[in-house]
Amino acid sequence: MQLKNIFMEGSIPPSFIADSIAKHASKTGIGGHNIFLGQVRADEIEGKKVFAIEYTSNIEMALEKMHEIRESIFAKYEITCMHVHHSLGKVNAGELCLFVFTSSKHRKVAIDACTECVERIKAELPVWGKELFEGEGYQWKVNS
Amino acid sequence: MALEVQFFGQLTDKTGKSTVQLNHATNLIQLKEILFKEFPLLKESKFVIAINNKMATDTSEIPEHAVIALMPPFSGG
Repeated sequence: MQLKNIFMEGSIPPSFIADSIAKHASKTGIGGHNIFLGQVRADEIEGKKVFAIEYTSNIEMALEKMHEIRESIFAKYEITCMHVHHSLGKVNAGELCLFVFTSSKHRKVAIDACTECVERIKAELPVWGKELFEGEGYQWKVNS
Repeated sequence: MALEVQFFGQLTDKTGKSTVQLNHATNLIQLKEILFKEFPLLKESKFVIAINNKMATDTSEIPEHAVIALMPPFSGG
């Protein structure tokens, strides 16, 4: 089975998101989209400022898990489609690192499916973020 | 050299490497003993283990030529 690749190297360009929205114009059964965008925050920790996050993953396992999440969300919600993109490698503060896009006939379903998908991605995908400080040093990101 | 052990995230800081080849171990308890001896800092680390991409428990048996992944808490997104 060919698993859908959700990863892209570096940040997710805003134009990619615009294109992705535009592709849905032909799907006229859709009445509502919901989009979550994760952006890298320039946190300050003990005087050191995060300038980028470097993402790594156990890719094979992450894609298998994402497939499982996708299946269970499609089984639970009446969504028309769902798209997920996550960055690997370095993403600078202010740039986008996660894009989750759900569409449905009615808004509530799209919103709920999107929220659940984002929560599950954060909790269940074997992905790690290394927060790089300006100057030197780093710390490993902890998801709340 | 029958096993490949992979380290992810902050565990690479504790081991100084991302993979290591090991002689066969029959289960994870035995494997952890070997790893803790070689990389003592791992002992204080939190992680889950997958054998050939499937999540495993301490008593899981390790097949020949398995790929073992040690994964700290996830922090994607």
